[in-house]
Amino acid sequence: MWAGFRIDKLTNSIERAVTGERFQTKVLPVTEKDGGKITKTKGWHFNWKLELNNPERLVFKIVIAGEAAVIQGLMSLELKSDHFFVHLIESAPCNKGKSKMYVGVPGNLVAFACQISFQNRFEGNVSFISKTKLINHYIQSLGAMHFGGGVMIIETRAALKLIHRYFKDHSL
Amino acid sequence: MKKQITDLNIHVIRGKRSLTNKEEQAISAYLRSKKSKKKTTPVSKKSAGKSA
Repeated sequence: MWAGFRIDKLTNSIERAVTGERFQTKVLPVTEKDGGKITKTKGWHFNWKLELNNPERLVFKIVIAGEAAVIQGLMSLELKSDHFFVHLIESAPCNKGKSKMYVGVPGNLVAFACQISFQNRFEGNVSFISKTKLINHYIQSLGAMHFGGGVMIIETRAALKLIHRYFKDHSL
Repeated sequence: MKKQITDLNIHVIRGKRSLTNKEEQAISAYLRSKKSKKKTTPVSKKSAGKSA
């Protein structure tokens, strides 16, 4: 499903939790070489190798510009006929909990999903399935709409808001 | 002025499952209807008068 995919080089930023210092970031496709860094033994919660090996899944990593070897977060997407479906998003082990190093990682990744949705002429539409207790959280934080049964949709207006918030040099 | 980035406080978005075919079709129908609504939004008399 990589065919016909257009991914621009994106620059945006995440913030160091302690100092508030901002860092330029890049969202890039995860490659086989990254496989060893994203295992459960390295502290990742999900089985990302499974995502990588699934031909229908598009797996992306967010890194700080100039520090491409350190993955700050991961996202698994699927291209649907008229939108992108988010299977998984996970912040790096160092970006979880009270002593997290950087904030803004998941938001960046969701905004990226919206961005490539626009690039593929899907008007920014992105869907995902939420746990019941998090539905309101996603409505408030992402501007998502509850479609029913835990299915959430980020529509054009909310997608644009996220993109404006996270991507300085967006082309929309 | 430094722009603040608020953490969305979501570490993980995890679908316990994928979309079912029925859900996928419902989403497609919804997005299609949204699109067609946009296309067929009538021009109000007031604005039509202005542009004429």
